[in-house]
Amino acid sequence: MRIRVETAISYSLILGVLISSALMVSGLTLLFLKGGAGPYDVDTICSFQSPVNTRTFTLSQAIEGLGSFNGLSYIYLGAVVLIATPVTRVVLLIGQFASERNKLYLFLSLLVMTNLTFALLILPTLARPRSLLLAFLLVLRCKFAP
Amino acid sequence: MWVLYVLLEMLVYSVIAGFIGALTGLGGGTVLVPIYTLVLGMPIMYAVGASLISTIATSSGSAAAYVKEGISNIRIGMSLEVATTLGAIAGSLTVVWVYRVGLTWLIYVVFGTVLLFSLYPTYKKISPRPWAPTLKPDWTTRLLNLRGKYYDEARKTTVSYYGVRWWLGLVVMFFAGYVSGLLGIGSGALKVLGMDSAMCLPIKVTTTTSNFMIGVTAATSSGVYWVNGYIQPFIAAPTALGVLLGSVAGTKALVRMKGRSVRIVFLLLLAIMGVEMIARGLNLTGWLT
Repeated sequence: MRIRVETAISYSLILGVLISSALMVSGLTLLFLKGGAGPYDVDTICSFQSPVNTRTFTLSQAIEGLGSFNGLSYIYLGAVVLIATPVTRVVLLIGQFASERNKLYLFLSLLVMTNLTFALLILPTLARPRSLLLAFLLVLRCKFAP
Repeated sequence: MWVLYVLLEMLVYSVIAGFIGALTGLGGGTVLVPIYTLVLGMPIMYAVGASLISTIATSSGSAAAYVKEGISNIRIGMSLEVATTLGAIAGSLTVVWVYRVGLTWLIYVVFGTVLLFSLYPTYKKISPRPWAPTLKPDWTTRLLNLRGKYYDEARKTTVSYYGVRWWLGLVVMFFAGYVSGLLGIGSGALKVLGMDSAMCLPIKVTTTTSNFMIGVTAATSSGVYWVNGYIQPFIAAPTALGVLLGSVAGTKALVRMKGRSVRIVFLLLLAIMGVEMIARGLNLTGWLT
């Protein structure tokens, strides 16, 4: 049982890395084949001083570009898959400790998961107070709209 | 054509960084950031962002080794992740503040200093001694079950070991996580220091456990890095691929390598890089070269 979980973790990680690499390679290829991505041309994207980064070209923009074979979108997807691999590892270990009824380690791994969730989901929205304010105003408008 | 040349250049440098990083045990990011900033003249923000992404790739990519390792290592790793993830959150928020108030030079200086201070634990890792108990098991050994076994290939025996002073390990790990979030590196050397010196765990165990922790720590910092735009897709993608390839090759070469001299030469080379980073930060560029 123990060996099976560890093997599952290892293979899920390797699979994640392979998928992510494939996505990044295809993203780069698309970038060169199409001579750019979305509103940016190759020279704008491909420079060390490029203004194109994860703040100026957001994840939601990237997801929209998946259908139109935007190269950046595929690189972003690759990065997201990569970031998800260690998270998956923690999730699988939570399952492992739960099945072992190892209460202390279950608690510790849940604590790690809480930190991860906070850092990956809550903190980025806090770092963008404007978007948070916008969301708040949107809620207000929905609530009080005639 | 120019763009393809730049891409190839990054790929070559990141393969080299991954190779040296795996060979010395220092990690790809620690070698990569000085090359990118000093040689290619990349803004440190993007270099650090790409390094962070490559760190996750290397950590997850090394998972093949875990099929053979016992769960005890992973358990110890998880218990310390509580501190490294908190440290990573603090570190990544600090770096945002540092860039905002224009103290970028400070990152160069801290990077160089961390690089220099990483060399000793890395050297120690290169010359492992058989594990022997130095301290008696304490309450954390019992409570957290910090025990395990590993197979010593050189002496052909199974060694049973235990860890102590988990609380001290937590303190060092918070610091390691902080440095990781601040500089976008795995800070494996600091993690090894925490497990070896603070918790008295065998070097062999600390290395694999630290590999496991590096990915989770780096993933924690990636949220803040992402939203602040430190990840430049054209730089991050080839870097992640290159460092991954380089570290796989480095790990394979390490198995066949008998002597330590090559690795010590690389460590000396990295010492020069560390000094050069500090010089850059203090605006003493061209002081050494």
